[in-house]
Amino acid sequence: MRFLLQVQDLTRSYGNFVLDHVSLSIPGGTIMGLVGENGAGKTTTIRAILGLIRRDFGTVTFCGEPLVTDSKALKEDIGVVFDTIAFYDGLTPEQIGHICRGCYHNWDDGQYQTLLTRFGLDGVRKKKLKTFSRGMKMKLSIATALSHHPKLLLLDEPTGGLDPVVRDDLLELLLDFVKDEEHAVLLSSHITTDLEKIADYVTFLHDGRMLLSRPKDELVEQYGIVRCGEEQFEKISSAEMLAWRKQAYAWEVLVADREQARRRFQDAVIDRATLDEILLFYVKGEVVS
Amino acid sequence: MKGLIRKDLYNLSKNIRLMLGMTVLFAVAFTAAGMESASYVVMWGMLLSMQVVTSFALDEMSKWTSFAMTMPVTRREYIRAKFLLHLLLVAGGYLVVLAICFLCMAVLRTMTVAAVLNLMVATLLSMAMALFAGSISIPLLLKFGAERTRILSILLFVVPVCVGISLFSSFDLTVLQNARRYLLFFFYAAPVLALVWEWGMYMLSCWLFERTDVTA
Repeated sequence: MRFLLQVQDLTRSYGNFVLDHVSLSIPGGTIMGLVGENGAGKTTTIRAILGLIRRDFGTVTFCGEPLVTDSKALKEDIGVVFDTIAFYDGLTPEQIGHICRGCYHNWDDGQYQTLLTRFGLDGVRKKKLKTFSRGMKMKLSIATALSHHPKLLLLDEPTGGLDPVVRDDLLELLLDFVKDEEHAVLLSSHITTDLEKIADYVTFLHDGRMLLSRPKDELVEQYGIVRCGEEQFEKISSAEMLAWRKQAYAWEVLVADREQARRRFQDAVIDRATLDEILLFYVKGEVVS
Repeated sequence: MKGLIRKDLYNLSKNIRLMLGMTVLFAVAFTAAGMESASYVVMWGMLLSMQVVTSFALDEMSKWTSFAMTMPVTRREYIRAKFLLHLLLVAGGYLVVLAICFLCMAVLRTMTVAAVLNLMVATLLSMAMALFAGSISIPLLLKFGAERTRILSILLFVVPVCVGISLFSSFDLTVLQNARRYLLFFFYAAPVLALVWEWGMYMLSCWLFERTDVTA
């Protein structure tokens, strides 16, 4: 398995917040979702990977090469989309194309035009960004990120505030992007339903720490929530639980093997665990170490 | 790096067109009123210098710097682009204002040798001031951001000018005549000294930016 991006023990301290030894590896042909509540450290992780902020400790390699602040050649192959478009509102898509052509050696005008057409932005090429909706600006950001033929796409909360149709378009595009083994995506989001649709791997962050990093299918297909009374809860051993929460009239237990739990606790209600619920267990519940 | 300068020129294009319009208006008004064009040449210099502050302000507003640092652009290239923008605006701007002044003089038949020399001297000194002012803004912008730099820039110029005027008014002018040789040296060397100062501010800005976390 060839890893496009490898992050090892990424650490950065900011006063009260510490990004604490975050490690993740993204194989080619996959999408890694980075999940966490607001302030968990998702954006800090992405900024530290790109060298926008200083790393106190840790290494980042991209295609086997160290990725540092001024890795000019490597950044030709990385496309980045932030949560807001980074161009002044007075610019037009045409001008943005000219700007990017002057920055990227691999800039492909033809690809840019094709993507503008695909996103329905061809008719507004000469219109200023201030007339664009949020969805249009996000599509333009993605067109810009893809038009220099990157190998890796980093997206920091790109779907926030977008309607379901635009979000679906974007997710479809990302799936297309990783169809071969030569490309990968790191997508940070707190909209876990998007990640459930397209991610191959999911990494959970909370308070600067990495809680877990697993294949998405394992989380969604195997993890489960046992909902039971106190008596039944007492019978579940620590080895069987990942985390638990006490609700008003029931106890909820996160387990790593839903099917095994069904066989063991036939009286209990056992449901699938969504990524949202897994995150809530780890953030608000009692984690069993 | 070409893309960075292009971006700034696109962003500032509206401001530049406005300034061009104002220059033509002032040039005609000043020349028609028989006033020295040197006065608005100096004003033009200050306006041009402030454009680099405007470019940083627009970058902050659109969170451009973070995005630029994800592109294949080094931190030194980012700073170099800002200084080149500054030099381009000053050089290009003064060429334009000189052309407008000469045109006005020709049309109104006020072009004399003395007037042209006066204008050239005012332009050179004004360019030196514009280079000094703009180049010192850039490290301030990196350290303090656009809003605080605008206030600091005013202090940086108003305070020395006020001190200079009050010193000058209480100065014994015969001392000046004795120091003529040295004053003339600074007078002619001002553009060169300004360029040297610009280089120094470039090195300082690179040093500052290489140690900055880019969060905006």
